Amino acid sequence: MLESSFAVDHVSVSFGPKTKRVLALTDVTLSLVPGELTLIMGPSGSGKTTLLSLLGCLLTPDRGSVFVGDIEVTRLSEAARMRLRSSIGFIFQSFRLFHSLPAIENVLLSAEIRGNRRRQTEAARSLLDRVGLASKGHLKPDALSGGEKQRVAICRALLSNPSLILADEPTASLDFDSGQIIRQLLRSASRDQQRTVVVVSHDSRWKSFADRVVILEDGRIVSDSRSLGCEESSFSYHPVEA
Amino acid sequence: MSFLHAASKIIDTTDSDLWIAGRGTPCFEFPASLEKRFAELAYSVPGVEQTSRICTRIVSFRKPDGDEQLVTLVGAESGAGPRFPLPLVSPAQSAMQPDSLLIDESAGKLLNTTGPLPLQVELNDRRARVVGRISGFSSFLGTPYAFASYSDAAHFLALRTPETMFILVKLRAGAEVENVKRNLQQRLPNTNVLTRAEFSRKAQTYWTSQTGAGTAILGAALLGLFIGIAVVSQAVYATTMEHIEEFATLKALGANSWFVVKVIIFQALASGVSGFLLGVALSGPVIHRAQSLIPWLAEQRGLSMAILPLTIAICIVASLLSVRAALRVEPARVFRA
Repeated sequence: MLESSFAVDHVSVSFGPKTKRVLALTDVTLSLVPGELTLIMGPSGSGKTTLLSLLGCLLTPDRGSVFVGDIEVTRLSEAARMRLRSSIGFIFQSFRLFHSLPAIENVLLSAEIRGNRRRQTEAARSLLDRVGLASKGHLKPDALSGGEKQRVAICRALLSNPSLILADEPTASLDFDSGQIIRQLLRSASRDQQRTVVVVSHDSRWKSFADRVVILEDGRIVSDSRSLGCEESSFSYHPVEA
Repeated sequence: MSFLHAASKIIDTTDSDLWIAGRGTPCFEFPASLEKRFAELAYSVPGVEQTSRICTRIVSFRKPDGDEQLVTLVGAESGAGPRFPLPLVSPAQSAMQPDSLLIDESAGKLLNTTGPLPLQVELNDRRARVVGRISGFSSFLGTPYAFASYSDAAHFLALRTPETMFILVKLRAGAEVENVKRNLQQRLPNTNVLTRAEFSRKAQTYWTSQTGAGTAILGAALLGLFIGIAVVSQAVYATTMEHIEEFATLKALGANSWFVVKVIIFQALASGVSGFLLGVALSGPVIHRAQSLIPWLAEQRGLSMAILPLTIAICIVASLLSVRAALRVEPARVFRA
């Protein structure tokens, strides 16, 4: 039995028609610990995004189980998985902000979905303040830089006070400085707020912020290693023992 | 609605309690003739206070410039009621001006009667004078109305002396309408005795369900409804598909189906209500312009508000297609860049 808060247990996922089935993940097992930032790396098509989708309750595996705490997600109805998703923080490469809404409304969207928007207004303002966007809450995404958009997206993810944050290439569209701010924010979310953070990225600069690095290839975990735990520390991979 | 009002306008303008018409008369415009003595017979029925006559027929109207135009001549006795247009000598008197006509102002250009009054004209080759203009009696059959006293109209129409077309009956205070109606029907078995409301409804039913006019108008209205649903549906669907990624994001963030449906319905209602307001604002000028082609067309202020719930219903029905598309979108696509 898996002991961590979030885990996938011997999961396999395939896509496409029966005659041309493509295996995206094969017998993958991974458990995630609160307070840890896990970096998932690997070449394109290695199954990183599929693994993230499984953890985010957006996909169900062909085989194996996905756990959120004691709940086995694969046994839940679509409605129950939707409810579960509202307590997971998502951060996307393309930000996925709503262009017709000001930054503060974008942050409040997750509260709106959960039906507690009124109680969260102050919290949303405070989050924007924490990421240095207090004066830009009224601006629509088109008036914000890439880094600012991603910070708004992080605020949206954090507003639901999630124990799991899933970030897909969160710094891919950003310059170095903006990327560095995002890396520090997510690092703080895991270290200081004891959240489980999973980042999928090709960017090796994430390694120094990660507590753990998982490398996928052809739908299998080929490496799962822990860093020394600080940004400045030297970092090396330790392949998983068979 | 304008069509229905126009179909029974003359009937509704009288203040009679009962109408006596020739058997099988479907509406005011197509009367069967009655014997004039029926008016005296009706007067002898207990409960009847007054009877008066109305006649109508399409006649030739020679304009002041010599051109000819067909008009629907309506002649009535003063018992038709104070709202009925008659060329009275003065509003306080029931006496009528001889050989005089009232013409609706909407027909002024067509009949060339826009100049100073009185105007000399001819009706069925007999001399007459247009002495006044009225409003609210636009042409229904395509021929403008001309109103005259009953005796003048009978003269212009060359009615035979013992002949009339409709007899209006006003009851004494306290008389039972149904009793008097029954007695009149027994006394005049070859006629139709109807209350004003019954005759009004009968005329409206005739024009809407027994002629092509009603079917055409109803067909046009239904076509408009279907086109409206199709257009709104397409617009909402296009907007939804344009924002399908946002719906995927909403679902990934945990929005349930009802939340997604609410967003789409709100979007449809916003376009529907904007369209409705625009339509209401434009309907006045458009109807005003269209009145030159369809004189009986009138703006129905109350109807505009009644259309609002229909508009909302159309929007909700039209958004169903979009709801399906948005609910089927796979939330996992949010991780594709």
